[in-house]
Amino acid sequence: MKLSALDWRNLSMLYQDLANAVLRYRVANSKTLSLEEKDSLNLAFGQLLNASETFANEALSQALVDIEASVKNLQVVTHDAIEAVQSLAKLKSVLDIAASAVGLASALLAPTPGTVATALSGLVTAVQAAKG
Amino acid sequence: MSQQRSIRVPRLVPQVCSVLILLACCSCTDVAAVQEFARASRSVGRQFQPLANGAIRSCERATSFVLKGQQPPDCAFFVKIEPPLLAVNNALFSYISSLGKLAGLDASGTGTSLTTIGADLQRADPRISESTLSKANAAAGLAAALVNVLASGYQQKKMIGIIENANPSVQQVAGFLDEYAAFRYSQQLRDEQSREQLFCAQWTDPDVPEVKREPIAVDLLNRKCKADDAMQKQKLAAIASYQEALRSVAAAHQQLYDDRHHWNAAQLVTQLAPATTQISDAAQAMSKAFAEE
Repeated sequence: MKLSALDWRNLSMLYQDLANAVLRYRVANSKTLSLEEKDSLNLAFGQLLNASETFANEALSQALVDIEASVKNLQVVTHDAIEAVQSLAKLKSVLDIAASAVGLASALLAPTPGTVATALSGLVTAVQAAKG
Repeated sequence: MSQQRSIRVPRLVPQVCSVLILLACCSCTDVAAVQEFARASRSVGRQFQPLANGAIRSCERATSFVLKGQQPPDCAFFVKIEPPLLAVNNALFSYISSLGKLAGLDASGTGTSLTTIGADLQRADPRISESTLSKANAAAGLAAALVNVLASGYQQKKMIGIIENANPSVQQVAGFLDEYAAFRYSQQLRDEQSREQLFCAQWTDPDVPEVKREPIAVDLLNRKCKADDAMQKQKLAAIASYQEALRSVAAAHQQLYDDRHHWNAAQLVTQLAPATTQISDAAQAMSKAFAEE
């Protein structure tokens, strides 16, 4: 019988509860239990807890395999997001270049040496920023 | 005819510009809440490694409480499972981080070179007429507003596509980290707590022959058990906070996905602010409980 990650997890919780019930019993009845009975309860507690931990390890290992595809997809999407950031940065450069070129065009329409020089320097700066 | 046009256009241009600039500003603030949310999420993501290390140490401490006849816990498992869990946690929070970067990429400065054109013109030609200057300023404002709208529209379109692709995986991975990884760590701490409780019960039990012979050691052990219990409770609360934060990340991402075609700034802030606060609190609780071990 193959158990799912969720089955292992539920089993683990049940065993942990059981171990804790044994512990509570051992502590609550400390005055009435014999030393041998206490030792037996200590042993049972340890075994139940170890079983619970083994089940939880199984649950975690299996769930890890189950989500492998989702993790890979997240990595792909993250890569897409980073690419989008980069292409957006490029778009910003393109727009800056375009805006500077429009500025140069305006300056060329009403030409004075100063305006053309300023607009041209704006365009050069935008191109250099895009390259950097 | 041409005289009529020259009178109307300068009157309309400032109004058109104002509307466009307002539009541009609105579209930029839409994503600021996402940015805040991503920043808080990153802080929780960074706390995962101390949490994972804390589980290994907890297992080692639990081993020291093993009584005669009991088997020690399998601490090698935590060492073995840590790298893949860190990778999963990293995948989730790297994604959230990249989303935040995309949201926070400032497109508002796009076209700023145009807004200075009026001043540049005046500096270059002090005798430039008022009318030419105002036309140049109006044209510059209009163009800057247009490029801003264009840039932020592109940004939102990209974000929507990415959120659509990632949402099922975000839900699954956040669920896994909450219900399996954090669960296992929480369980380990509770096991340490139980093992120590039994250890203390055993070694303070008057029926046990060694206890009668060592009254000072028993008193010290009693004090240690109480102090450890408080520390373990703090760690368990921090793990519960982390689990709550993962649920907030998943729920907030789902909200972003559900509302992807009609985001607005006020709504985004209302939806993401509680999650952002909760996530920041979790990061602080985790840092306090695990980082200083």
